[in-house]
Amino acid sequence: MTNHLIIGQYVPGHSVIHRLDPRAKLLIVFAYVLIVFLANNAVTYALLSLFAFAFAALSRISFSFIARGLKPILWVVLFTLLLHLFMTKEGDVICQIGPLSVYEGGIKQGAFISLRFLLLVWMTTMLTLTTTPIEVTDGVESLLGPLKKMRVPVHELALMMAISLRFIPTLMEETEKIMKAQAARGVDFSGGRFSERMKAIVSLLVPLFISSFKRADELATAMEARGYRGGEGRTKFRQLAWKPVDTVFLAAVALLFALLCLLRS
Amino acid sequence: MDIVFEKVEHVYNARSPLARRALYDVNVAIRSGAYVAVVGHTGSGKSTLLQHLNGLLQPTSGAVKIGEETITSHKRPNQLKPLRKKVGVVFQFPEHQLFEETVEKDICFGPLNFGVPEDEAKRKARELIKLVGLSEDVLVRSPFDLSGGQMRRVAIAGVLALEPEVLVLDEPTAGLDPRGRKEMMEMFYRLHREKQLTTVLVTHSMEDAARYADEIIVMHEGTVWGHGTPEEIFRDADKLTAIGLSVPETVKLKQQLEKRFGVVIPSPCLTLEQTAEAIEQLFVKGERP
Repeated sequence: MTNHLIIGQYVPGHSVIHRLDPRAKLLIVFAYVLIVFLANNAVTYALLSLFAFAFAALSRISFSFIARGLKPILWVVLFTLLLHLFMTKEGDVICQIGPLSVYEGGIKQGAFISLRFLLLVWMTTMLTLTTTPIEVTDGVESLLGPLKKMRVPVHELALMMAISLRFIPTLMEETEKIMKAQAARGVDFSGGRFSERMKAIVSLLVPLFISSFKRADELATAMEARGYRGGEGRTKFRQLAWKPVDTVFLAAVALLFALLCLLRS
Repeated sequence: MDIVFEKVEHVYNARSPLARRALYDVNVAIRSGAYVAVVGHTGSGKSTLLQHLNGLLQPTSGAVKIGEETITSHKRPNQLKPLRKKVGVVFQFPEHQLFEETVEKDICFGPLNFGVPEDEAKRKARELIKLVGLSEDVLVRSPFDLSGGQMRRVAIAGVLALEPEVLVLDEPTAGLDPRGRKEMMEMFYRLHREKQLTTVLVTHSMEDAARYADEIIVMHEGTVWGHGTPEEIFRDADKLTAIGLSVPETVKLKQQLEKRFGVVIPSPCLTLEQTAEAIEQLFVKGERP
């Protein structure tokens, strides 16, 4: 499963996209996700696609690799496309298959919505492919900084995010180990009656929860032992530095926004 | 049940950029009724080797013959369950696999999975809890109320309850105190003899390997580096040191004595008892005119 899903995977590199400030990348992707919805004709969609492709090209991650990552969502895209093909009744009838008729508007709508979907996943994938989870967390914490005044526990939330990300591989490893141990005691995880399956899952989840709680407890003790007291007055090992290039990229997104507003019909 | 490895290779994540070869060209035979220790550096392929013994992993090339069954890359028995019942595996830190409300239920879990009737399984649980050195009133308690060492004993009882013909132990004494260590190793040795088990012990302790094993398999960088009796394996200490392993303390003592006094000690000195005897022999010789 993990072999196919590349969303959330980081690909090390030194491209200009990799080196962008994580805050800039978060803002770019967030803004992009919003302005995607402005597009409503061929020109605007072409513009958006061009931006996404340029972004990927600058990251120097091969297109085939990114395309492979889009495969799992292909079914969803196809489903959307078909739904629009047969459900939208606008414009001229293009062809008739039995009781179903395909309208011109349906083709257009279907293609646009599918493209929109692909672009959304494409850009968010680009974010995680070029940014380490730690950078993302630091970026989120910094961007949400102003909310601290409203007593939102930003630092704590960022820490929770960092810890969860850190422990995903550990948890996967643990799951595999326990599955093997239970399989050795005759548990069949792949088949069997419903009641047997439930029992199999319980034999996996209980040890998993117990070791997770234990680990959480140990982690808390270890953090306290090293004098951790929360975000107050805490400095960072990795300092985020806003560079001119970050401003340039944000300006590019602003330009894209302006063009979309002008060219949309 | 004889276990034969023929040109076994195992590659993790085969056919992907993350491919990693953990085992290659492994040719080894474990005969029925033998006590075999597998030693090797961390990452030498011991754990991967061990998981081939009950079909948890399939070789990516070559064949593993376990009794009547043969497992190759493209063929595995339709039913792995009978194999899993014959080969019991005690994983590292087996206490992590406990999950039932009571100790008794957890010990019965394995046998019930293999279709043993409930009263039979319960009878077995009562027998085994004593065998692993705990008292019968532990049976009604929650496994999570027990100490770490007790939990491990319960988990081991859960594997023994399958009544396997082959018992595979992956560092069963890791994290135990010296006394618990000794008790547990003695218990496995007793079981090995009483039930005529075939025992495969993965260990870092050269002392345990020397004391209990009939044969030692030395793994190094994914393949079998050496296979022989403890006497053969520990004869050449320098070669073992070169691959990051050592010889038992008693063998080191023997070498020191030989160097210091310029004598040859014929005994292999694998255990404390043997060593004491060998030293006694030296004294007796020394008294002669």
